[in-house]
Amino acid sequence: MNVITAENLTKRYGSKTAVDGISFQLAPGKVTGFLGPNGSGKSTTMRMAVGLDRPTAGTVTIDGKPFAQHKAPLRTVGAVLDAGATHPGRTGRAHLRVLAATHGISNKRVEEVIELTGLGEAARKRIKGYSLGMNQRLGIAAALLGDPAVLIFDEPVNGLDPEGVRWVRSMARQLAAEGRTVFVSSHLMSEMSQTADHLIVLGRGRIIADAPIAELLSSGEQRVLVRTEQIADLANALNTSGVSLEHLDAETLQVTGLDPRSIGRRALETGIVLHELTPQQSTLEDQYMKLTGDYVEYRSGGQNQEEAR
Amino acid sequence: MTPNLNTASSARPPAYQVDPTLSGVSFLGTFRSEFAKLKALRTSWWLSIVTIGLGAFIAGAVAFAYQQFAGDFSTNALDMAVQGQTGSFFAMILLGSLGVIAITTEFTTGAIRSSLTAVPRRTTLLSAKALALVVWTGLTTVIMVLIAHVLTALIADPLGLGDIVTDGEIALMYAKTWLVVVLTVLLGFGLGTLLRSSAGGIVVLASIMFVVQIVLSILMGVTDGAAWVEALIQVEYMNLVEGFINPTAGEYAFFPVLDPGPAAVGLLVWTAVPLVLGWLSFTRRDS
Repeated sequence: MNVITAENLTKRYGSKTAVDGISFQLAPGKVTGFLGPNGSGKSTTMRMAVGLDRPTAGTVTIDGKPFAQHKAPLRTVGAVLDAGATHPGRTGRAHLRVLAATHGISNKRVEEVIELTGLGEAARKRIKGYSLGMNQRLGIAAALLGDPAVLIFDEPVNGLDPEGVRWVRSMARQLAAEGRTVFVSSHLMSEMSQTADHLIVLGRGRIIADAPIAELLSSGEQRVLVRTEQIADLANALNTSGVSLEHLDAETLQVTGLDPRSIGRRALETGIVLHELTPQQSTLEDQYMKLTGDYVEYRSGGQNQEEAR
Repeated sequence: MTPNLNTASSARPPAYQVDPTLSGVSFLGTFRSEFAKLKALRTSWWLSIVTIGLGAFIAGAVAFAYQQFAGDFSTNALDMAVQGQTGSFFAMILLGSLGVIAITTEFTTGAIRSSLTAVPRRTTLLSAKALALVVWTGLTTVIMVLIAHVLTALIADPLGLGDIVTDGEIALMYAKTWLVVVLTVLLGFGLGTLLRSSAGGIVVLASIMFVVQIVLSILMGVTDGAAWVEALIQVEYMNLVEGFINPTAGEYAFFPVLDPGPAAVGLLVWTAVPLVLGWLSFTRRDS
């Protein structure tokens, strides 16, 4: 089964509501991205899934049971929730061994995950000497220790170099292909677009989208780039209800609300010569910005100033 | 709200199955894990080595001083054995601090989140940690008590090496010394679990051991020996330790001392209160 189910899940800290009555269900065999701006409640939801935080209301279960009630938690869920959740005085290997001991997992498996995550020689060093990237690898090694059916990764690529980022992506895809449930959070849509099959987008503690990536993409408005020397005539021909036009330069228009076929037909009817007619694919980044625009809690000063003008 | 079942992929692989015959989390495994954590902590080794070293040094110094002035006053084997264990007071604060640190470092470093994802049943994790701590500090205390006994017996005449097995009173006093150190470790552990702060836990432990006694002594003088102050002094932690360990404490103590039985109950209450409050906090608060 390997299903994570959240029902009306709520977490409040005093007067602040971090997670506001969300419900979702994650099925095995695919990577589900958990996306949202900083402070949207992603980490809190993941912490509640593994029992680190207690929900104020609602439930989150793994295969119908709270995480703590599973006989073999490390074999049920592997979680990377905080790259720094280790004792800095221990070596990487010692950290993995103390976790393995709780479930009687062999030292051979510890060595396997050390190899798998590329920790190698670093496993002998004390964790306080680790870079953020090495800490991430150690966290992933700990998550893989029990060869679990469900994997929960909170911002797993933070601090990783490009090779590490690629490795995490392919690992997440591979784990999902093996029939595991993979739940990955990020605040970067570009990252999710290369990893996830399905997205849950969170804003200020609420789900604002829960759909396959393809569906999110297709729901975007179609834009078409048109280039002509008769730009004023073309603008007149296209200027009808539901169509918006943006002049990019003296010969280029960006048209929203009309498909390329209709634009070409109107140009022909009015005798306008087109030099270019290019459909613009709506990117996930665009969709994400559109979805979360009203839910961003922290904005940079520059952006605020721009908006204030 | 009805949950949405993801339906993105048309051909999904069959769900991965975990082999149900593989071992799960167990108390013994968790104890092993917690003992390994203590072994890997440098502070554990340093505090234990200093405890044993200080216990041996104090025992040797006390026995040597007695031997130098043996002609001026005489004592019996039990009194000599009690004096030889003076280092146990340092063991209480040093190993009590280890009790605090054993849990607070998990919180201050964030390692508690890793521990709880492996062992999410918090009572199991906390009790395994407490047991590992008792085994570690218990062994350290046994070594300290034995070395202190050997040194005292070798230097000071009234105490013989074999008295530890032939003299029931001496053996009982050593057992009580061991128990008091271990209870103080658990007191520190309870404070650490409750406060989640190394500095806070150690300061409160040191205050319980050294400051409360001084404050009560001053109050005794200020109130001209008020009955309520006398009652408080009787249940003050170090006074209970004295009453429980030292069979002759009542003969020379400045303040009234409880008999060993009630003193033992008092010490258990002192230990149980922070432990229970710490457990309640640990099982209910977010990590």
